[in-house]
Amino acid sequence: MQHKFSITDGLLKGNAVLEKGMVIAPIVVCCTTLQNALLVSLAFALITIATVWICSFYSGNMSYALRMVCYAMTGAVVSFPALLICRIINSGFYDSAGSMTAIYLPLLSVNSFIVLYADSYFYKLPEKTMPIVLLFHVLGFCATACMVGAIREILSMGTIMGNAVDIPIVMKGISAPWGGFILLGLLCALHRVIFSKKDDDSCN
Amino acid sequence: MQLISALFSLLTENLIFTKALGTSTLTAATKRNSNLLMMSLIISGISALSCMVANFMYSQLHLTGMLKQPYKLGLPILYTAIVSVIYIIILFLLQKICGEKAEKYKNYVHLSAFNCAVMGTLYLAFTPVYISQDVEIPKAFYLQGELYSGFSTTGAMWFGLKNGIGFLLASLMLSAVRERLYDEEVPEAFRGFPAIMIYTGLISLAIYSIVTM
Amino acid sequence: MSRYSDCSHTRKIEYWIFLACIIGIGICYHGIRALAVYGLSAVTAILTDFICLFLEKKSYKRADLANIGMALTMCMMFPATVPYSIVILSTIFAVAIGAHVFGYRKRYLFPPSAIGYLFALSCWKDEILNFPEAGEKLPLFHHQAELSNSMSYILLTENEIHSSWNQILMGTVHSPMGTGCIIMLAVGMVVMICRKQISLWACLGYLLGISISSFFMSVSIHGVLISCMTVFSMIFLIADPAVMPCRNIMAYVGALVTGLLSCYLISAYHLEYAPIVAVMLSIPLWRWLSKIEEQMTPEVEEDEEETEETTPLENRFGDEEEEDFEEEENLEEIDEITEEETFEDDDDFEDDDFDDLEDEPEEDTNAT
Repeated sequence: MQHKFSITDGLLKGNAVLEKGMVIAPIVVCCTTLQNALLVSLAFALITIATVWICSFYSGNMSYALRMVCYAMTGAVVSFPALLICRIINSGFYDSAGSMTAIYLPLLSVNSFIVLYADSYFYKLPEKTMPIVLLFHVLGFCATACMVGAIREILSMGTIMGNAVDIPIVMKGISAPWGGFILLGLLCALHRVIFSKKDDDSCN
Repeated sequence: MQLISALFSLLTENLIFTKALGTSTLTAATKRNSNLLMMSLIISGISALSCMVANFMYSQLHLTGMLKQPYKLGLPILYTAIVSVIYIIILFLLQKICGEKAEKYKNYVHLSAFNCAVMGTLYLAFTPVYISQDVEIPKAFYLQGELYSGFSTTGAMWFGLKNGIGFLLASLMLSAVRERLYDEEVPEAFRGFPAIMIYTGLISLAIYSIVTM
Repeated sequence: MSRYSDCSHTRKIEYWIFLACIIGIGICYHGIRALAVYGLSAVTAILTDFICLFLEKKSYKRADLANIGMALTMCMMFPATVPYSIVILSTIFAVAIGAHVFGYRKRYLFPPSAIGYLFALSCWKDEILNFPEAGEKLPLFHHQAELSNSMSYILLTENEIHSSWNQILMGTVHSPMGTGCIIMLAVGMVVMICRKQISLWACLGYLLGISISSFFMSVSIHGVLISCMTVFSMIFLIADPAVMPCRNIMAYVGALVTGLLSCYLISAYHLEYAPIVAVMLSIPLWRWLSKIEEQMTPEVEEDEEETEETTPLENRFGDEEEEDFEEEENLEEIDEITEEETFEDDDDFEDDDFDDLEDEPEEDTNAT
């Protein structure tokens, strides 16, 4: 049974990561601690919201290929100030974050929200609704990233935001990419169980 | 043995299993065997061409300053411009050569151009080994696991191709079990995408135990 | 199709007897602690199975106890000094992720014991790769044993054997609990092959793969066979019918490639757990061979009776009982049609069926 469309779907039920499997790479590799996850979330939010909003002004009149090029270039241009802001907020952490800031944050400029999802979903929504739906989708990503980062930090280091948490055993390997994949798979399954059960209840 | 050595090289530096780049594209590519081959081919081609163009820009146009802070923040613009030009050229050539059949192949190009596998290859190819600002850029050029004393066109092309072949290998590994992951025996909560994530994670676990131990 | 004959009861006992012998040797060498590790893993496996089946809304059956074998196999690769918490977490990971996610028994994608071992290795490398000396009886808690690298590790890194052949074959060296006693494993392997509990062709393919690879990599084959859990992996991971393709030729090819990968990993990366990694990386190939096998197998018509031949997998797990139980569940809302009920009862049956149908004249139903 189809569920009724809700503006807040992107946060929970229609979560882009857990339901659609989008923008997985930064979560799997970078979100090994809550601090990393917050940085990824901030960069993603700044780049995606600004790019999708700017591109909405010229999305209608071009061929598909040109639209893709424009979206990607807009994302790349927007990423410059966005990543600069992230660097200014915590330059020490930003510069020491290694491959995360060298590879994954710049890659957010061409994430699936911008090059695929914007054209196929966001720009088909009513103008007044689109920014709110976009915001909730971005919040959904950020919530997932922070949840994954927090869980991995607790399990692999026994800390949360650098503060020690009393757990009996730590599993260092969880901070590796394989830990991210498996944790994400488990969270997707959990998401499916929760929201399919709610669907069944609403049908009954 | 050379073949096994090459296979392990592709696995231990695989974009998907070690860096999670292109995972969403992988799930789309493995839906059908024709998808798999075409997308791997296109990703390899675009990666190789992009790396070669970027290599030319660094070596001949002396843009190596962009590899250091704070100019690194401008790399997305440079790399996106390179991929955009190649994308447009490929679409144009496809239209000219294939004619009516071009529509069928255009979807593969659209999906393959601006994805993490291609863009990630560019960032990986030209990441300095030492993050320190004191090291000279030519010596810090990390390609194919070896330090090159300068920029190399064939090295850049091979790096791009290698990552594309690694994507093909990962696609083959997933397509071999894809039907099983959508089987009725798999619990409904895990059927499909969650099982794919866990499967990829377990292969990544095996590779991690080679690389880091 | 499989050539195995149906003698399920005795085969199941053989497998467990073999496991019990290996466990017994571990207890002889390491004392009560080895028994505690095995016991804890078995109990954890049962509980995890129970919880996972409960979440899947299935009941726990006697046949599910077979998962204990998987947990015990995983523990055989651990040192006797492995902390109990690691045993518990690894077992939970192996059962929940390795077994249940991909469809549970008869649908294993990976050997769960290999998954549990690699999980433990990645998270707690020092605790998994350091071993006590065989013969030192360890207490249940707070052991004072001196740990060192395994004989395999020393052989790979220093290219020297510091133990005598007698010690190596009897397993009285620094090694995992259940993988060191080569003689016991070799004898057990022969028995299991003769009783068709494991695939002979898989073993041969694996040995050939190791031989070819060791020839090209200039590694001594007997060094590979006595170390790195090679024989153990061959029996419990590679020739295990739970994950291997059924047909001999497919099992042979799959195991051959696994052997090539194993030996390459041993020589190039000096991994003392190389066969386990090779098995994990070979799984896509094995599944692809299984797919080809399914395409080659002619479809069985519905009218054909079930064949008397069963695979070792079904023999080991006793699924006949499970299938009967499931069939009974499916027929809860339908009148059971037993062998005694024949076409003589058709009139009554059809009348019951057609009660709710409209425009169905009684004369027609009586005619059929």
